[in-house]
Amino acid sequence: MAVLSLSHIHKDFTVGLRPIFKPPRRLHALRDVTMELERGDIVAVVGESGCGKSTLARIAAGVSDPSSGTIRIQGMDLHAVSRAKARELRRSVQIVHQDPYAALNPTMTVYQALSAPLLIHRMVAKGQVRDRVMELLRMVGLNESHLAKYPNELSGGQRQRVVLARAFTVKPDVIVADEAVSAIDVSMRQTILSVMQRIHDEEGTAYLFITHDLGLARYFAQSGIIAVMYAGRVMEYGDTEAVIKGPRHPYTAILRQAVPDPDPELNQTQDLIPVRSTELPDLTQEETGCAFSARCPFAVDRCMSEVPALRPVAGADGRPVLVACHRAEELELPQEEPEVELA
Amino acid sequence: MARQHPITTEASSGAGALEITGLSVEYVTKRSRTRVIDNLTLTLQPDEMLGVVGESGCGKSTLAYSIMRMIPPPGRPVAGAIRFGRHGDLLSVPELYMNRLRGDRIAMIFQGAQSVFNPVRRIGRQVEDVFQAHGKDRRKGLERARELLKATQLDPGRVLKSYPHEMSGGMRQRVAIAMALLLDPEILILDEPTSALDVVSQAAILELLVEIRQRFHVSLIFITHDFAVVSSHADRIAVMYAGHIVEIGRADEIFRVPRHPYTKGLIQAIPNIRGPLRDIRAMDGEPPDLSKEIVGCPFAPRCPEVMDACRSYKPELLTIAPGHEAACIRAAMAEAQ
Ligand SMILES: Nc1ncnc2c1ncn2[C@@H]1O[C@H](COP(=O)(O)OP(=O)(O)O)[C@@H](O)[C@H]1O
Ligand SMILES: Nc1ncnc2c1ncn2[C@@H]1O[C@H](COP(=O)(O)OP(=O)(O)O)[C@@H](O)[C@H]1O
Ligand SMILES: [Mg+2]
Ligand SMILES: [Mg+2]
Repeated sequence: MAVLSLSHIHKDFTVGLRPIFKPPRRLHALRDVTMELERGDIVAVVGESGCGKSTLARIAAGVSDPSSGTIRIQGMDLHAVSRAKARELRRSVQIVHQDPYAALNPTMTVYQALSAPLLIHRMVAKGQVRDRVMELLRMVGLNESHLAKYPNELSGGQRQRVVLARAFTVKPDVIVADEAVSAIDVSMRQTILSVMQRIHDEEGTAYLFITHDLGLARYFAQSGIIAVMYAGRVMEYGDTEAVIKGPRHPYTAILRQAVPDPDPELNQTQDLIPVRSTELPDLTQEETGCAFSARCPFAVDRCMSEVPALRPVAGADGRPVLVACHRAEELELPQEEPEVELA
Repeated sequence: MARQHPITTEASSGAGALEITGLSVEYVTKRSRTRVIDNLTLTLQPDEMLGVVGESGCGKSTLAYSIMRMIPPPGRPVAGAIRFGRHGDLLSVPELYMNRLRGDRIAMIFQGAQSVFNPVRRIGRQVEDVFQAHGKDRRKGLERARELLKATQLDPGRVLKSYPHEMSGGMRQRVAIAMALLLDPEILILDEPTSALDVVSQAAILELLVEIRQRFHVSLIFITHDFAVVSSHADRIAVMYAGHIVEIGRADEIFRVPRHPYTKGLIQAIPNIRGPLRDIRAMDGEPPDLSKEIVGCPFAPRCPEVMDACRSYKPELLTIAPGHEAACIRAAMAEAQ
């Protein structure tokens, strides 16, 4: 049974209220997003700014409600259960944001930040709070010496570990990590990721791992799934290595080529897909075709007039991936280069 | 007023575009004295793109501020010189002269600055403002702006009519780069220009820089904590740690044969997308507290290859191959053999 399932989620925002003579418009931030996480699943959601990742994260974590669609936690429809039950279910999905500065109360020590949720939700008996706090701290690679520290006395990486430990106080089944390491130096990211990985391995926690960086998604969701989003829709969905090695959607291929490779030679020898434009579609417009068609170098008439459905297509390794592109079968997108021997 | 300090226009001597020698910068308060840049020497070649890479807190922004002579108080340069061709030492030219150089001969895109623009003025008006402020022809300014904006892959006509908030973060940053080149500077410093952007916007910026270099003859200093960003696009890379340059050389060489363990660490931390998935590794620990005295190599406490000598002896930059220098005892010993 899925620990978290989102089906046919739509989310609209009302924008443009100020000009009196113009009617307010609806901005379609999410369109028909469906996703399921079983226990221990890792799904990486990838796409550029504005494609709806944070909106999805907030809905998945119960911080905001969808305009339509169904959310099930442990198989139970959040709308069909009592409010108390819904609150309890929602606690099993915790969110970690990009900015650990904003997430922590500057007047609370690490000990206070971690003990408060333990007490409020009665996760452990009063006498065991300190032991549990220590256990959580060790889990994220911190120790006794950090207990009495305030957020401003910690580095960005340490702060994000405290946020992770706090998310874990209530033993969630799912952690939604919205750009959780994006604000942290590249050299420090892996320590945070490995903490998350360890929690996954030891506790079976599932992750909705949100990032704009396909390289990071590949690393964290190496045995999981990548979902590529554009303009509020899932464009490609499949096993991580299949999606990375042989993208079937032109947008995935463009996201892939945008990741800089430290090897100067690899950057020069790539055959690049020309990007026609860098402008995002206007999300207040009704869709008339593929949202990506304005930027897609392969767009044909049909792409402008018919919204492509997300459908199964053979992936790079033969296994199916889901792709929302009319031309997925016929396009010859750049595939994984033959392996280069490094000296 | 400004006429007392007209910018020198004679041809330069043909040396580096910028020569920093023995630069030290300190933040001094009653309680502490923090040496953020320590005896740093660096030459920027004409028309080159130099990548400056290192973790947060290692002094990259302070280096940039030093060149602009805009170190925020209580920081100040305590030693060294920054020679800028015919203009002399930037640390000692009169403030009025420096004022004229800023933006005109040396421009900078500041870290985290999504706000360089005036939010209530159209971009076109802001272009005119720049030219007016420097006593130049506004109409010529718009012409040049159009030419520069073409390189950004955006429609110049539309951009000039837009307000800053009407553009996405990535577009704004590209427009900011175009604006920084309005007065045809010789040097453009970009401090983490892509760190707040997504990878697609970042790729567009990197492409823009490639284009700009070919068309407008400008030396670029590109500062970042992400090694992959500069190694893929820069000619040379300077790796900074704790206020020092610990390794410098051609980008391809630094990537292929990094000699400083810190550089190796930065490279090993990058998740790769091409080729089989590599394991990435984080570096243990964090950069040292610069307000405390550092004995020996500043990287020694985190170094996986540390030797006893590293804890007492501070390595200097040594030439390892032509144009490739590293400040590491082990690298120097390997070279000597
Ligand atoms: N509260 C809101 N009101 C109006 N529009 C919003 C709101 N939140 C997000 N949006 C819009 O929804 C779209 C998706 O935003 P977001 O989910 O934050 O994207 P991402 O996290 O991928 O950058 C954007 O166009 C954004 O401007
Ligand atoms: N006003 C200040 N007083 C004391 N130290 C400062 C001040 N501003 C910056 N520093 C220190 O200077 C060092 C270098 O900072 P910075 O140049 O911003 O590094 P980077 O850009 O590489 O992150 C850091 O260790 C920082 O703590
Ligand atoms: Mg977001
Ligand atoms: Mg900085």
